[in-house]
Parts: sequence; structure tokens; C-alpha cells
Amino acid sequence: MAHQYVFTLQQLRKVAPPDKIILDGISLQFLPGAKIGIIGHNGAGKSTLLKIMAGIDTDYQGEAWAADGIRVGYLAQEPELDPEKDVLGNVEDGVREIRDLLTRFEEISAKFAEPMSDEEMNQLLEEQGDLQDRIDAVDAWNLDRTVEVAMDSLRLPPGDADVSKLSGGEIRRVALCRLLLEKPDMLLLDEPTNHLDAESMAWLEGYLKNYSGTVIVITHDRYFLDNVTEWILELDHGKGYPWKGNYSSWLDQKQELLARSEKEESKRRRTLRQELEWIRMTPKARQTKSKARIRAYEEMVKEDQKIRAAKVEILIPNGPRLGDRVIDAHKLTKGYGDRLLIDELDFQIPPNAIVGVIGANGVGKTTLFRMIVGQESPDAGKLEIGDTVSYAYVDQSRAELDGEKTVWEEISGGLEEIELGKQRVNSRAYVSSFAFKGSDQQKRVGRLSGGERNRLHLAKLLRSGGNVLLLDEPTNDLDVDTLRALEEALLNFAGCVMVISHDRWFLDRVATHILAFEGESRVCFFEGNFHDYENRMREELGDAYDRPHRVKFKKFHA
Amino acid sequence: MHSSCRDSIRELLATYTPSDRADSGYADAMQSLVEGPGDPLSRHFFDPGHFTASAFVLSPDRRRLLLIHHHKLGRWLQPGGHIEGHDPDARAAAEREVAEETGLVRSDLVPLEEPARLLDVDIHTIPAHGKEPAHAHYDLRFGFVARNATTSIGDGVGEVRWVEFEEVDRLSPGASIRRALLALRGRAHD
Repeated sequence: MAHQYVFTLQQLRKVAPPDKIILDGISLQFLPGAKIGIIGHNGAGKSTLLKIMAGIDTDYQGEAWAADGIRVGYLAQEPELDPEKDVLGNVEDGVREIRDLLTRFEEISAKFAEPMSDEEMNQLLEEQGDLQDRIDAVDAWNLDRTVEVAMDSLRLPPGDADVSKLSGGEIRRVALCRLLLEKPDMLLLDEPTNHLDAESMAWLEGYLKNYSGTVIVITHDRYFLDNVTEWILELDHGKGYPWKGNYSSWLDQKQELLARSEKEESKRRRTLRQELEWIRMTPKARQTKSKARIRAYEEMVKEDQKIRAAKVEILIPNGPRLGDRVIDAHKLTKGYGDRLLIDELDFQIPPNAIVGVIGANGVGKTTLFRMIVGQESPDAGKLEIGDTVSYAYVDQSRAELDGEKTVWEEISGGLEEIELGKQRVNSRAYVSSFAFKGSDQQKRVGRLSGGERNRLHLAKLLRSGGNVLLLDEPTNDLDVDTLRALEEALLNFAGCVMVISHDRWFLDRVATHILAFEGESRVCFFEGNFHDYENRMREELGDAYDRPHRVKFKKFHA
Repeated sequence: MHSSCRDSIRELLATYTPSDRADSGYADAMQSLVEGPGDPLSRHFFDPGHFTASAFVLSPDRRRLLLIHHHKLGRWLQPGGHIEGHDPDARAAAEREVAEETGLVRSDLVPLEEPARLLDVDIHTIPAHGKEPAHAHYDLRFGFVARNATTSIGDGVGEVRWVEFEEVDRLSPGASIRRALLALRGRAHD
């Protein structure tokens, strides 16, 4: 039996001016219904490939075609909405055809109340029957409900909201919602998981897994890759390597492959192996491991930096030794305008803890960081900071970067060797471990994309030498390889980390504690990783936990 | 040159149901190899390796398994080897290897299933040797029942023997042969 492929690439080649080869002769065929995740370094050509397949980028050599009758739908990284329409109007564009069928059906039903000849009656009955079949075929009788569920699950702004006033994240969610409702035969999604919180993500996973069409998705969310995809397409040096299996399976095969070709274990392979070992651990063993981290602080502080430098791809220097008190909150309360963000929060962060800070956007996570470093003060309660604490923190909205400097100059200060604690390392190698490869290091800071700026901040921050790192969404713009390297770096860092992230896999691998902004001004401090936290929430809330809902706040009376 | 053979491997893998977890990891890796770039049917394709084909042949009384003693490796193995450019598909390659190594020709063998299905898959590492770097053999395994038991000793082979099932594990220990034999005995009774 020969397969009917839905899409074919033949010797696809893409060169960016003047002569940078992005895609170098890729030939692939895509099976109907396949769920494929694309991974690769930043700049490996992932978005370019999707744009070519979507028919948006037509400047390439070779061939790329969809099979006859296959409708292709595409979610861009920065999608556009119809500015003439409100949120609901844009979403409704996705179901226009079906909506027209329903409207016509209702019109006909209404006509039956009027007097008419037998002939007219028969004609109407026939049309109605035909409409009924077509509506049945797409199961669209509950269209209003379907639209409502999709809008709610993706946490869209209210239907009558003006789209010109939406944030970037909200625009993406509206566009994603519109696209999913269109139900194309082939879905091409460029980072659909950005700006989605954990619950919307879970909903999207379920939706795509059961999607009857082909799905090709670029994402750095590894749970998403593990749960949804059956194939991984790895882009590397312009070539495309299809791997059968989900993310864990890819990791397994890749590790095997490297093991076969390397005499000595490279840092890259070690990092892959560590992640694979972690995947294979039972939840219980993971718990034990994270508890052991808290106990092992003294040993980690004393560990030979040279040995550590040889193990990890990104080295974070240990700052000065921390005392027993790090950050203690007592009945901490903070509001913003008339909204109460934090209501009598208590926590004690032990040395060596890695605290994952989670919650929907705009609930007060960054405000908490600002209070910790003293840029804002609590409205009530107090924060006690240990004497030995020295922060590494960049407030990204205020940080000053010199637009004229190159990436390498900005991070290295122009030095070929930089000091990381007591260790001296080659600065170009350090910069490249944040996915600035080769010529990317010569880019002017002023011309960087938002994602590149964030990576630059991260590279500067991690070398600054504090013993408490405050990281605000470091995971959003990293490719999977860099994420994995960052995880290893944090796990090998002796000190405290508080990290705001939506990346569940990342949090599961590194977090010893979770600080969860749960909505309605509740913030909960929990010992365990994200998975443990979710389990507890499910026990408490049952199914309600998995059903996404819009965030509410208590009224704040200062 | 290998393109039709490659398509046949795609079909084989699409209809293959792995028997356990290790096996399903192998099946994933096999699909990755067949869809990947390069020519995974060529014996000179080393990164990560190439497909091979082998045969698990039951004796006419269905109580013994055909094994050969491999000269170079000094081990008892099922007959098998590289896929050649002129082999129309992977099963034909396995049949050719049986003929070359044991003297049982195609008309002596009844395939376990028609159309061809995989009995088992296995991936094993071949250490670097001479100019060849370390690489993997992605072995596609097929089941047969022999019509007659008369064998002869072929190229590179020290001995050919019909081995009682109970003896197989002692002669050639390892999960991979055990797993294939189990599948073979299961399907031969169907």
C-alpha cells in the first residue's frame, strides 16, 4: 500500500543574502495525520521552513507542494488580526463558512411559517436537507458552544475587546483560536505555546493530539513535544533529520548516535544523557534528588570549579557562600491599583533552593522580584533578606544596553578570556553557549530581536557572580539545546535561584520549590517540583484544575 | 538505486507491532533511519549505520532453529547480512543470505507471512574495524519454515546446525535472539 503524502519537499534550498545557507537540500514527505515537532538551534531555519510550506516565503530553490485539495493553515510568530473587527469578529472569521450554513438553515426554517406553493416547499425542503447533511458532516450544530469553549480555553480577551489594544500575547491567542476553528488539513504552528499558561497549554495538547489533520509545530516546550508529537524533525546545518518518536525517544536515539561516534563523552552528550536519566527516574526518585540538593549545599560550594567547568556547557560561577537565612516573607501583602496581587504570603527559602515561580501573566510575579531586590516595597508584612545575599538580577525593562556594541563585546566586555568565579574561560565559547553562533556574535545589540536581547541579558546576568539568581522568563526564547544546557548549569550552581517560567519541563527538572500565583490573590509556597504541585492541585480541585478559566483578583483596599 | 527497497522497508515498519519497550525503541530508530538523509541501505553508510536482513528459519518439524557458526565473530547467529544493490527487497536479501550461508535456497523456504511482515527488529553496534568506523546494524528479521533440512556449509561459516529450542539460549545467549524465537514460535502456530 503506497501512502498518500499530504506535502512534499524536494531538494529544498534556501539562501539568505548574501550567501548564508539556511536550508541545504531538504527532501521530505509528510504523512496525513502525522504530528511532527521541529527542533533545532536558533537560526537553524525552523521558521523559514514553515513559511515556505505555508506559501508565504516563495524565494527558494527546489520544490515544495501540498497534495491536491489539502488546505494549509499557518500560525506566524507575529500573526496579524483584522483591525476592523473586535475579538469575536476575528475568531468568527475562522468559522465563516460554517456560520453561513447555519444562518441559511435558520432562514429556511423561518420561511416554513409563511404560506407557499408545494413546489416552493419541496425546493426548500431539499435545500434544508442538503444543509443539514453538510452541517452534520462537520458536526457544527453546537458551533456557538465550540467557539465559546475555544475562546475560554485559550483565555481570550472578551469578545467585544478592540484588537488594536491587545498585547502581543493576546493577539497570538486570538489568531491561534481562529486558526484552530478553521480546521485546515495541515496545521503549521510557529511557537503556539508562547504566551500560553500551563492550563491553556494542556488544553491545546489535548486538542492537537486528537486533531485529524497533519500538525507541524515549532516549540521549545518539551512536554508539548513529548505529549503531542510522533515525529521529530531536527534541523541542523541546513539538513533535515526526521526521527520517529516523541521528544524522549529523540533524546534516546540522539544520545545513542553520539555515543557511537564519540570516543570521549562530549559536554553535549553528557547533557543529553543527564536529561535522559532524569526522564527514566520515577517521580519518587526525582523528589529524593531535589531534596538532596538542599542538603548538599556545603559540598557544592566546596566543589572544585575546574571539575565543574569540564562537565557543563554553561558555567555559572558560585557566588559568596550563603548563610542559613536567604529570603523570608512574613504576611507579605502587595496591591497594584485596586487589585490585590499578594495577600499575606509566607515563605522561607533555604540556601540552594531553586524556586519556580508560576502563574498567569500579570498576577504579580515580576512585582515580587522587584520587592525582593528593594525596587518596590510591600504594602504590609515584611521581607527579610539574609546578610550574605548578593543578587544577580536584571530588570529587563530598565536595563541599559549599548546598541552600538556587538553581542560579543556586550557580554565579554571585549576580553578574549572572562572570569567565571575562579575559572577563566574563553569568552567566545561562553557567548556561543547562549546560541550566538559564529557571525551572530558580531551582530550589533541595537539590531537584535526581542528573543536575542533576552538571551543577551541572560548571558550577562549568569556571569555576574551573585549567590541568589532572579530570572524572569529566561526560558521563553531559548531553543531546546540551550534550555537543556541552562538546566544543567542551574543544577550545578551552588546558590539560590528564583525563576519565573511557564516551561513545565524546565521546572520539573530544576525546581525544588514552587511559588504559585493561583489567582484571586492567592500565592502558595510548595516544596516539590511542578509535577508534584500539579498533583496536589488535582487532588484538591479535581477536574476543575484542568479546565482553564480566566484569572480573577480580589479587590484591594489599601 | 535502492529506492524501491527503501519503500518496502517503510511498508514493513508501518505494519510492524513491537513486542516490548526495547523493541519499540528499535522500531522508532529504524523509522528514523529509513526516513533520514543518506543511503541507509549501503554498507558504507556509517552515521549512524545501515540496514541488514536476517532469517529465523524453523526446521520442517518446527522444533528446531537454524543457526550458523560465524567464522570471524566466533559466535552462533541466525543467517543474515548486508542488503545488496540487486536485492529487490529486504526479505529477498535475507533469503539470499540463507542460501549463501546454509545452502537452503529460496524454494526450500516457506515465508511465515505473505505479504512479507517483520518478525522482529534489532539494533546492534559493530565496533570500529580497519577503515570502518564504529556503526550500527539495523537488522530486519524475517521468519521462515524450511521444506527440507539438508544444509551445506557456505561462505564465512564454520558450521550449520539445527538447534533444539532449549539449546538456543545456551549456544547463543542474549535477549535479541530469545525475543525473535519467541515471536517465531508464536506465529508458526497461528
